[in-house]
Amino acid sequence: MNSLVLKGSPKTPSINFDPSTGTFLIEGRSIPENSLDFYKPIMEWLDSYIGSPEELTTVVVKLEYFNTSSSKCLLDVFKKLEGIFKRGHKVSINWHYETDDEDMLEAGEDYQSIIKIPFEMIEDEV
Amino acid sequence: MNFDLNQWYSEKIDEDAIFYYKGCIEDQNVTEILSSIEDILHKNNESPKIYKKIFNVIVELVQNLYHHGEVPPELSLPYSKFGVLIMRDEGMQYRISAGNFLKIDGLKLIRDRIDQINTLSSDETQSLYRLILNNDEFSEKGGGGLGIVDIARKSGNNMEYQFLEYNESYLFLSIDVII
Repeated sequence: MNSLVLKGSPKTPSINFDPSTGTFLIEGRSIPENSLDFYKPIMEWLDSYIGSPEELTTVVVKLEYFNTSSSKCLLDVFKKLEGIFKRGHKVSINWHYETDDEDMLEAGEDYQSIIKIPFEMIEDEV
Repeated sequence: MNFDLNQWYSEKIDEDAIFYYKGCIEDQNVTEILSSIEDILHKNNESPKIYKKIFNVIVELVQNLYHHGEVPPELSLPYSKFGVLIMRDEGMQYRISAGNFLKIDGLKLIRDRIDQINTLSSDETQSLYRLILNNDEFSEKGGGGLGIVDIARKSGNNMEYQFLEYNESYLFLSIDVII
């Protein structure tokens, strides 16, 4: 299975999902008007990955901004991974937020309250 | 008397207005508006915390316009998404005003939702946000009102709104968010 690599843009995050290490990076901004268009290939890639996942999958989320239409798509990404977590695979989500960015910390806590995968909240000094 | 868009707009543009836009809200316009807002916040040396709050709120407001800003046929515009965005620096606070036309039958849904959100505490707003986020009815285009809940949550202030009668089919909705 190939890695999923998407270059970031002013409205979309850079994506680097490496199936050989189980490390998935989402970084930058996710503020497209039509988030489904952007996240559709990501969801399709994940459908393949969850068929034979690594023993440990680590998702690193380093978002500066995301809009509410992306928030639903991110939840769908986490729900897909929750499926393999429930089947006994290890999954962790490292949610990064910049110092003083309480809104981004709270956004991580929103997902933490919904998703059963363990979250680690990581404060990045600016 | 029916709503006069140009008069309403010109009255909003005074010396406090640091950004104003009236017109088409397609993809490219959204990108340009957001880029201009970032330039202004940079020049204002705004703190990262306020900068992010303002940018986030404006993203939601502009994308609301993109998804819901209608064009009454009487305006005879060559495009189908219309909106207004004004940012004012009032010294102690920023006031962001967004305006769009909508069909009269959309009034109750939006008014009830804003009125409901304005009565909620910050904890209740957070609970409502989580409820809508995890609700299957919420789609990419919105529908569950998550954008408006997010705006309320990030601003921490009540939204001020006005529905102004444009003609027998359309209203003009203006929303003010204070940060």
